Amino acid sequence: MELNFTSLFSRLLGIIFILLIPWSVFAQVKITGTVKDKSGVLPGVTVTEKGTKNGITTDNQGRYSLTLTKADAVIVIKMIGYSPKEIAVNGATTIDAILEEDNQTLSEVVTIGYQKITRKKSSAAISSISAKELSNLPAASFDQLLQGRLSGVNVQNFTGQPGAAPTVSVRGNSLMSRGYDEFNVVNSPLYVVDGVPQPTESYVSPNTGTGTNYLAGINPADIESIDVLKDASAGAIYGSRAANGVIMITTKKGISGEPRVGISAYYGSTARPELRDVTLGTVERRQKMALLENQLPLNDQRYLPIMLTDSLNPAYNGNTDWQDLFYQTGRISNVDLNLSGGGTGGMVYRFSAGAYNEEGIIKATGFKRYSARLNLTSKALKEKLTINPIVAFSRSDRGRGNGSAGNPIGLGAGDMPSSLFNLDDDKRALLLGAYDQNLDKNISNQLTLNLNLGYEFSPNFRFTSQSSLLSNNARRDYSRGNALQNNQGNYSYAFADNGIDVRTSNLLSYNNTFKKHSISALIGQDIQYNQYQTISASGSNGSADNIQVVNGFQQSRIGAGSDYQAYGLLSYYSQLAYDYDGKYVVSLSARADGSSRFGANNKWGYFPSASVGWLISEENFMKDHKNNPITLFKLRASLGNVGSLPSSNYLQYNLYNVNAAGFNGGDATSYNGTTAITPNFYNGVAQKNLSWQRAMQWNVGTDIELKGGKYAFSFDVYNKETSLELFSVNLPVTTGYDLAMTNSVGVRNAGAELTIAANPLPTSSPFKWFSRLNISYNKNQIMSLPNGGRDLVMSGERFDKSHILSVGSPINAFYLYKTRGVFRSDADVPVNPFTGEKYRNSNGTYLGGMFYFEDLDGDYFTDVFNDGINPDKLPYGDPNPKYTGGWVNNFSYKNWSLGIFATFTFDRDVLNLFESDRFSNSSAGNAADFSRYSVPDLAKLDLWRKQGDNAEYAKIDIGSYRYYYTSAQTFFLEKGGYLRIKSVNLGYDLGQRTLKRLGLTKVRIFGLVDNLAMFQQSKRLPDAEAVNGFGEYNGAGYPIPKKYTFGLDIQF
Amino acid sequence: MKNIYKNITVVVVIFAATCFSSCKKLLTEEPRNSTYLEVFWKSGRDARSAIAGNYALLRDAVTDKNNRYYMYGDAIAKQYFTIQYAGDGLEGIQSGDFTFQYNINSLANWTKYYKAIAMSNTVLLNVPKMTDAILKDVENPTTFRKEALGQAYFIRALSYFMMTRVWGDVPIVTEAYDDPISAPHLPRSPKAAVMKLVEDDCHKAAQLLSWNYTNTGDAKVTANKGSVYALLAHLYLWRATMTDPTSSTPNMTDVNSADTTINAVIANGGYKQTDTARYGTTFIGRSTDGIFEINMSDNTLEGSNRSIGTEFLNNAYVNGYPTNPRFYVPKSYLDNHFGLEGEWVWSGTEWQWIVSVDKGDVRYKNNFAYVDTERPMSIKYSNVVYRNPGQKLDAVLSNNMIIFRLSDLLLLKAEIALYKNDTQTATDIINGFRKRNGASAKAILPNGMSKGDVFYEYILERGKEMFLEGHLFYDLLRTRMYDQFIDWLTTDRFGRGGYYWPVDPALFRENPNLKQTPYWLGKV
Repeated sequence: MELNFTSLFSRLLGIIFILLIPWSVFAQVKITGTVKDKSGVLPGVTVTEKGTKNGITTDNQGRYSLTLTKADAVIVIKMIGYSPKEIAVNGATTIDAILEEDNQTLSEVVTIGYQKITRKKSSAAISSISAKELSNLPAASFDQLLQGRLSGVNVQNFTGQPGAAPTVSVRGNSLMSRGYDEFNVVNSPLYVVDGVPQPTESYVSPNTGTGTNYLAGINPADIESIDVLKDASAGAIYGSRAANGVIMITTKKGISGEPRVGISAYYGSTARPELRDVTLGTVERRQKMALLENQLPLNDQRYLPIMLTDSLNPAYNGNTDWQDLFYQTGRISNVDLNLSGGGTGGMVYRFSAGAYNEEGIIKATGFKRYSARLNLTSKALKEKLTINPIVAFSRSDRGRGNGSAGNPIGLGAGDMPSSLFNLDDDKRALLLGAYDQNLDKNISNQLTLNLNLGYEFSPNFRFTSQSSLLSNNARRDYSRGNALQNNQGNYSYAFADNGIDVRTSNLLSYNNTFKKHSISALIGQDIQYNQYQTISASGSNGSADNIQVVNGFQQSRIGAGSDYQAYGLLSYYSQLAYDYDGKYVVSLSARADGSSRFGANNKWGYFPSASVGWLISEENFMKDHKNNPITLFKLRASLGNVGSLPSSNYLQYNLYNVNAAGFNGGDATSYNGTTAITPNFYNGVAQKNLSWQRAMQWNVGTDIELKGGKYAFSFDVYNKETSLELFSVNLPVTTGYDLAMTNSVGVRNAGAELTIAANPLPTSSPFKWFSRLNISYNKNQIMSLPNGGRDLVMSGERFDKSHILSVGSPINAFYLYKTRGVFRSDADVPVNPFTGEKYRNSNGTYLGGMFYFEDLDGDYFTDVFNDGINPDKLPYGDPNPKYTGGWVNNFSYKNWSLGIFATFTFDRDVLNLFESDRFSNSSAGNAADFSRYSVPDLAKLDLWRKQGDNAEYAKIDIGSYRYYYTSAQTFFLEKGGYLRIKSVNLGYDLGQRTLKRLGLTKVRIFGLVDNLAMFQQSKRLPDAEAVNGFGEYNGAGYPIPKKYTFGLDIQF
Repeated sequence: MKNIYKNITVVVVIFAATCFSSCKKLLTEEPRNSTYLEVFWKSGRDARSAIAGNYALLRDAVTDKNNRYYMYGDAIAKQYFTIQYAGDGLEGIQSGDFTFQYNINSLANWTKYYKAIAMSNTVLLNVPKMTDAILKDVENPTTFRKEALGQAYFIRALSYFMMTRVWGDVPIVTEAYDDPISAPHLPRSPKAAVMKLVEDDCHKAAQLLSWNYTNTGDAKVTANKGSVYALLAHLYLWRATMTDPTSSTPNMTDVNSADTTINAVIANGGYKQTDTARYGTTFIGRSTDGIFEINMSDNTLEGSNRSIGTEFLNNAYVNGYPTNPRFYVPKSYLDNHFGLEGEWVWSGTEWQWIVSVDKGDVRYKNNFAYVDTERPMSIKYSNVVYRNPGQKLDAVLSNNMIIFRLSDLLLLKAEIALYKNDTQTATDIINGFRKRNGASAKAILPNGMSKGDVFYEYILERGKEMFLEGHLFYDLLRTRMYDQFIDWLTTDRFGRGGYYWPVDPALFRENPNLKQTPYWLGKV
């Protein structure tokens, strides 16, 4: 249906535009020809008459026919991925051409803000990839695919849950917060799709709304290219929002010519990774018994838990593998259809539709997306007006298992039950009921309407207007039956949100060349308005499980709420680029942003930048040199200022709390029936003087290309100082207020990026090998903190408080006790020479077999409760990856191709909460607690067992209250480096003869393995990538699955 | 070329024009999901909500951290009830050790009181600006303003009074800051200044408030002149005795002021002690005995599932509660307070010396259960309401928190009499209480007892009458009877101010002007 509709639509538009175009008559020479590459004919190649707009593209057979305006014309034959060719006509009527594949990256066009510029002349730090690299990779959203492919971009998938967002950072992280929010640790870049900044910021947590990654609404198959603006000179044009980098996405456009249809599809399965190592049944029983008999004093052994001693008891003789209950093998499928073509007068269209379906490896999780996109370009008013509407719609449906983003199987490392418990049918039903019987429907709809207009006043002067409307709505419907609600009645919850983002951008641009001077300039204005509304309702203690909406609940059991958020942004910007003789490049840009998020005193922020470039290879001394292998040598430098906005919309107001009557034991909203209203004494004080967060960044880089692109290097060094970052400070207690935001935090991210690309084999070789390696290094350091730069221990969700913000340390550094080892014996415990007391904590002295924490303050006492600064802890390690990158290797031989892609992350520290939790589940209890929970395979561990043992692991903590298995110690700090063979892709292209017989243009068959293999530094971490932004691995998250797919690409 | 410039000019003018008309609006977004200062204080309804907010913050402060009002006022006096171990170290405060980490972080932190005070200051700043024109939704703007201000003064005074009894010297703040970000870090002010502020605030409040309530629904749970006088009476007695802990001679000016104040309440307040037949209703709230209570009634959905009463109740009283509640009343308390003279009783085989308990006393009958077990229970606050009555789930206690009541003031008159060396009046008052509550004749005091003995009996009477109302520890301090009841509070420790609480070190982090409570210097 859609196919028919589109072709009809395009024909209709074609007719309209044909009518619009004034036909005039020339004295004409007609030339025809066929364009090929080594493997066959090339459709979609642009053939133009040089210096005019007269042009056409080749058809399916690679043929073209062009009517020239001048007899002595030169035709230019161009296609992305090939070196362009210029051929003088010289009276010929047939001109065939063979295009060479192009290895040069520098002739590519990159998008910098509102301009497109050739990479050669760019003086900014930009990394780009094209659609080809992303095609047919099984991932719900393109941000996951960026991992390792672009220098300076660090992508970490801390969850394998389909449709969830990875963390993406460009040139390091500068986000800091007081508390612990696993979903908000790293600040994400600004995403700009077809010139439209995307409203990716979320106002609600993933556990409230659908939690679907906004970017998963964009079908990766629709993406033409991705350019990442890393430095200030490129980013400054997005001024206030560019401090964390800008990722610009251009979607595919039509190619003129006869309608072309492409179908690409793949199918496959997702497989669960290896599960954590547990002991089951008798092995577990014997190990635990042996340990207890060894460790407990004789008297306590009289009361061994019946669970271990009574092996005949049917309740306790199980062999239950708890993890096994929740996993499955999922299927994955994707079908993309695209249709493109165009007619005379510059009218082109592209329509695409896609359906992606990924089942998760945990029951009832998955992600489905249906998407469609139409991109249309046509010209009017003597081809001076370009009209380019883009319409895109996507609907995604995310299955969420038990609904928890952080703990999808509901069994953490610390609370996984012992395998000895037998699982009866009721219990099993209850456990799995959260997956099978629950309703948890998460639907997101995204509609994008863009209208881009361009008018050429003259070849030099152009007016561009972009208007867009993004309308996003999502809803979540959730219900749990009586049994899952402790038999208190069923529970239903409904949540809907509605976001609208309206933007219009108008700019004037001017380009001209005077002899050796080229100038391009633009000036423009953006207006953006964003509104976000939510509504939610819930009901509990219901009386009928089959009611899955909020209906039929008692009035007092119904909760409801709605929210409204809005902001406006007004911007003026200007860009000026100048080059002399293609050798010296200067670029300046400036942007002024006014935001409704700031008070009257500081509404406006100004963000200037400048960059220079020197193309040494264009100088005569290099050009004149025969056999000079250096085809391009560019030096560039940039300096600029970019900003970021606070995430709250209403900081400038003295906000009040309504229903502010809660107290210990009561969720009251009123006092004596009168609604209580107070100022928001937590953080509601008006912030009229807040100003923009800023990042001052410099960048120095070079681009070198040898032997016409056979080898290419790109190297950048940068320093980004974020200052005036918003952070809350403590206010005097006597004001009644707790916290207020101030521009008080500074962070520095400094680093270097290297990209090396090579085609080592000669062009004549039938065997081809392309290889590209990129490595990024980023070091992150806190430069200033509020309240006099005092260290701030983050109020984590954990008792251990294992993170700190400290000047000089990286963001979210670990705050740990230093583990010196295990006390070999009781006699090993040091004694305070002044008091004669042994080294102790508040619950008693340490004994042999316990971990020995370094006594930093020398008081022979470790304070285990201290939630502020603890004199026995120090900041350690860095949860932010320092080295990241990827290595692409593409091989091809005749019709075969093989792609191997690996990503890596090195020099990152990970706190292994998973392991500490597995040991500490009994530390607050007794032998019975120890027997109730799953423990690691003790036989494999070098565990302390008796006095004098020189062991690696301390003895199991059974109710000692010394808390020596706390996760906040260096013993659990691990090296988080890894190298992952991310994807291996084997493809075969059908030969020309077969294709001709089938009547097709292209058929490619491929097979792909995603996440093939993992090599990691730590032996103890099950998956070194599934680590959250705080550098913690807790083993409760969603494992990253392996995916196997097999597919087909067909072009008609 | 000319044409081009003309076109460009047209386009630029059009877009400039659209912007200038709409941009100002674009850059101003006002919150719709919350009210805020700039639009608040615009009606009587706003002011009423703000006052409710002020009470709510006070309620939050006194219930916070295991109902701290009772922890300070009763728990540390030790003999009245026992807190069992539960892992959080709370029971440690009953042996006079206030330094355990969790207790330091919670009970030694005064932040919440300052929120209530900040709210009072906000009301005091904004209500006077509310003109008659703004208050068109109230009947009598002048009275309305007076009542609003009076209540704010009262809440501020009460908050400071509660704090000065716990910490002695505390920072004084009497302004609502325009810009809290640049507000100063305040040092602790001497307790004399704090008490002077409480007195002044009370005088202002008393002038603004009347004996009656405009709205009878506000009676007892909001402040009137009676509430203010009750607070003032307590302040005077505290100041008379605790200004100089080393002296046991009270300041008679303050004692006399207390006397006058109480007499005024008795004469003008219209309060009446609850009929002993309906004794229990006093502690549900809004009885004729009540002077000032903090509303925690579930009639307005403000009941609590963690109020002080819940700590004592077991599953026989509340579905789903433990069989062994954390708090219990030691037998020694019952024996000391309700025990009568022993007598020889013939058991059938032999004579036994039995200390009998005054089972007739309504305060014994009504307030305690399981009296014959190891762990008697206080059921003084046990008005259980199930919000899910069908399944008996979501239990809350609907008992107001009684801060001041008439019987409290009447009994204080005995203390005043003792300070005036009038043992006879004191004896009469105590006997009056006992008779009224149905005590056995054996419990009636003979005339002519020594002043010390009457003081002792007075404390016992306070212990019976004011059990678990947040007053007993202070009674023991004022009367210097602590040494006979609280083992950890030695005369030496008392002399060094060891009854005060330390200040949470977290508060020092930001505030260089703050100093630790002298007794706790180096101990925390």
